[in-house]
Amino acid sequence: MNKRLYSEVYAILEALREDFGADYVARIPADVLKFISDSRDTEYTPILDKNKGYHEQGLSDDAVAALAMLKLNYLCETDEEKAELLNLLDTNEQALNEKMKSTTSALELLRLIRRSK
Amino acid sequence: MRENEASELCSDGVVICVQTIEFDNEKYILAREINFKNAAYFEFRSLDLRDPKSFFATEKNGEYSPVSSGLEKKLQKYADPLERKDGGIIIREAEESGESASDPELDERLSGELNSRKAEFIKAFTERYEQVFGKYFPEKYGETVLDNETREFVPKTHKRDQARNLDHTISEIIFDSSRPENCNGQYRTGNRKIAMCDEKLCRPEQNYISETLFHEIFHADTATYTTMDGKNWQANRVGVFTASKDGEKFVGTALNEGLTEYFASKLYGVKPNTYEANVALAKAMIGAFGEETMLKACYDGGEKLEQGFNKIFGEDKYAEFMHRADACYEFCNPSRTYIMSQPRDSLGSLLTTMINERVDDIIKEAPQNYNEQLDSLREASDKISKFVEADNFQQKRVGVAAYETRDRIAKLQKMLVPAKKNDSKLSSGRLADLFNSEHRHGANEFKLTILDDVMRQNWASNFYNYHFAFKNAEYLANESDLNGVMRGAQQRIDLVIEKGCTQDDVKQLGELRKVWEEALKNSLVNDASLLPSKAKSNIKTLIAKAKMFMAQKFAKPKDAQIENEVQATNPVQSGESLGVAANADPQRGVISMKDIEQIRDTFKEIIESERLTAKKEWEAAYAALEPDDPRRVWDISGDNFALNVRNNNGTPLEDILRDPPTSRNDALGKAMQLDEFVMEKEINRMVDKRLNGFAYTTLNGYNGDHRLLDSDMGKRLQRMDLASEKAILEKQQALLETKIDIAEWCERTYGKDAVIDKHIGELEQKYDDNKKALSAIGQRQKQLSTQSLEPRAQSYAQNTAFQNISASRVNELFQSVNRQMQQGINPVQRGRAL
Repeated sequence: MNKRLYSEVYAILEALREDFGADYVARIPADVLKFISDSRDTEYTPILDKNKGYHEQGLSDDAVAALAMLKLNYLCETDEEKAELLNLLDTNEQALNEKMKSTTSALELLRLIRRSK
Repeated sequence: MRENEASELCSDGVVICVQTIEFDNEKYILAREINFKNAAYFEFRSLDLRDPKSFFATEKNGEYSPVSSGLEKKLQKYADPLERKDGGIIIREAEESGESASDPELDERLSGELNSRKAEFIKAFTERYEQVFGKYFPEKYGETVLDNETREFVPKTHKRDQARNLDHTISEIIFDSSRPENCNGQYRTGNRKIAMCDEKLCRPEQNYISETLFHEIFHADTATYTTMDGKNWQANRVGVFTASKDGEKFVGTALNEGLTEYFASKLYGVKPNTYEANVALAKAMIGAFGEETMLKACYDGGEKLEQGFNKIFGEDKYAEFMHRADACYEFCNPSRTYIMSQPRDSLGSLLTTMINERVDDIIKEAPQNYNEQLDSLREASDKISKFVEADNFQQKRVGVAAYETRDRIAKLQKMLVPAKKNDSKLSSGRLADLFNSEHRHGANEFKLTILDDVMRQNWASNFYNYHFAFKNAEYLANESDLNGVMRGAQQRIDLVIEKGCTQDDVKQLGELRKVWEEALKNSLVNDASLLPSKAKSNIKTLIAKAKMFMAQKFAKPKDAQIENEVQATNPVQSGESLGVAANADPQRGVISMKDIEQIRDTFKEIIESERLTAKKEWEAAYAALEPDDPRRVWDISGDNFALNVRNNNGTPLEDILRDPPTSRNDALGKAMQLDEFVMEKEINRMVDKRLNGFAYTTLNGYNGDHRLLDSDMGKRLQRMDLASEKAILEKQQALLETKIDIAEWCERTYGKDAVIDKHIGELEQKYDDNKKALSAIGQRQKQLSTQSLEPRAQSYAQNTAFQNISASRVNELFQSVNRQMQQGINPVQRGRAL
């Protein structure tokens, strides 16, 4: 796995700590946090803009997916929130599949496949 | 030589001054450190920080030396890279910054004009100062300050000798920042108000002796140094009105401007017309601590204020006060439009709360000098009350609280202070006077509450709880005959106090009270049909025995006045004889330690005896149950059966629910009891806790102002409040579920019944209503949680961060991470996988 991915996840977690408080991030088990911290590229520190959403920070899709995974597993506050996120991910999945079916451009298809994985 | 100097405050109170020097047609820029830590005033100079690469060396003791590492760090943001030469002197040519050459003629003319104006202003300012505040400075101060001219520390003088200092201060401000042609150039000082002053001072037609200048001069006169954020000068006094080492310090900043505006306006002879919220806050402080204290705090720093505060409120309480005041003031962010009374009301309320808390501590700790401490608190409370009265507080509850607090202390003192010196006993009739005295909530309730203070030494944590304590007392008094009897017995203790006893006796009586309370709890448990009828009657017997015992022990001859008062103050006991009058004990005037121990032991014996009886009866009833009877699950082990019934899992609720009803009526009764007793108590406790937070009450006081509610602090408080409300509703739901279960079980066991059906219907309706309310709270919580977040966090909270992420991608990542974390426990796998 790309070390920069973990650097980005680490930066996101730091930002989450800032935005939502230390308790929020502390819901993630310590060994997972340690794994992320140990696995990251310490030379690479992504800079996040406070005035932009996470999806606008130019992070890799892998990092955002990892964030989704962490949120789903540890950070959702209620079952409803978790269901909402799952629903979103499923909807994204379906939309992507539809797009892949309908696209005729090989290049675009490759892009979509890459996005889906 | 032309000089251009800028300064910046370092954390240790050192001001870094930067100078541009023109010498032999070459420009040099140097930096030097000046320690203004103990200076009484500071320099305002013409400034230019637009040339940031102008820091090279420091000057100490007249010699230049290379910049220290600390200073270098400070300067790096301006000068990068720093250049040095051998010897450390200077030194680098300044970049062209478009400076215009000065006009000697203009300088001279202005200098002449300004000098005369300066003299006129100083005269006006100092005369007014002497008139208004001179009374506060009768003597010279013994502290030393840095003399601006000689750079030596000299004895610090105060307003009696202020003109000299003021002359320097003002001359710096006026001379160095008053060049109209360059007002927009490098000579313009950062502070907008100073710049305004300059313009006024430089134009003959302007009245330069203005409120604004008074305000700024007061800053200059009181501040120890200036701070600069790269743009603005600000007279400040770090550490004076700020307490917490970290976090924001709203009040410190607010008071700096608020006090300055207040005092400067007073000097000028007008009402403050700016910094309204700050002034309101300053007025609250002045109201509480006095004008002289606050004025001197402006000069001397907050240390003396802190010492005085801590002396009254206890160690480190000043820091706590400032911290809590910050929370109040956050509502009243000066950058917003707000109601001016709010900071003042908040602070008044906070001070009152803290006084009450201190009284609580004194009651708990019972220090030797309690009366002295109560005196100080009463004095502070008096000031607040007068301030409230004089200033027409908007929030009436603040005024009520202030007066109640003052009364509370006064009455406590009246009760606790011996009548004569060396007289350790409370004088006879003193309590009767106290109980007779008029009180906002009536003498009877006040009596119960004040007794709580002394007997239980457990006054509610703040004055809001006072009302709940009162409510609970009232509830208990009306709850049942049994409790009434207990209360009646308590009256006997009251009489003992009334007749006179030592403070040690009062403490001992507190322990006796615990025994009473234990009996009271048991009476509630038994009254709740948890024990077989015989056990219940036994408890009644216990109470009766107790009543008789106490009556005999504390019997007294008829004292029409006191007896009538006691009867009158006990609605439950009225008309019921405690057998106190006729068979009077001639020794009744003093209760001894031996008596108290005997009473306590006797009570323990009676209670233990009754518990054992109850346990035996219960065991027999248990043995008679059918094997499949649900009541078989009850735990009847343990010797202290009666206590186990109540205390096994800590709360009355769980104990009651552990015992299924024995009949239909019992089930209904139990359900009702849950409603009336457990639910009320439990939920009241939660409501009480909810109201307990000062922040909430502050919010509650201002919830009519949407601007405050919309502030970040307001949202935080709303979230806290919603969480409390949600917890209460969830608790209610759990209780309702249990009650429905009980009622349904009752129906299944004993057959259908219209009354039960109706009851279940009502419960279910309430359950549904609560469910809707919970749903609304959830939505509001979500709304609040996302509203106040930064855009970055909002995207995360609203899941927009994941708008391009598919489920399969997350799954794949999940598997990948799992593979990487093969060793040891895999926390991701342990978590809830997609």
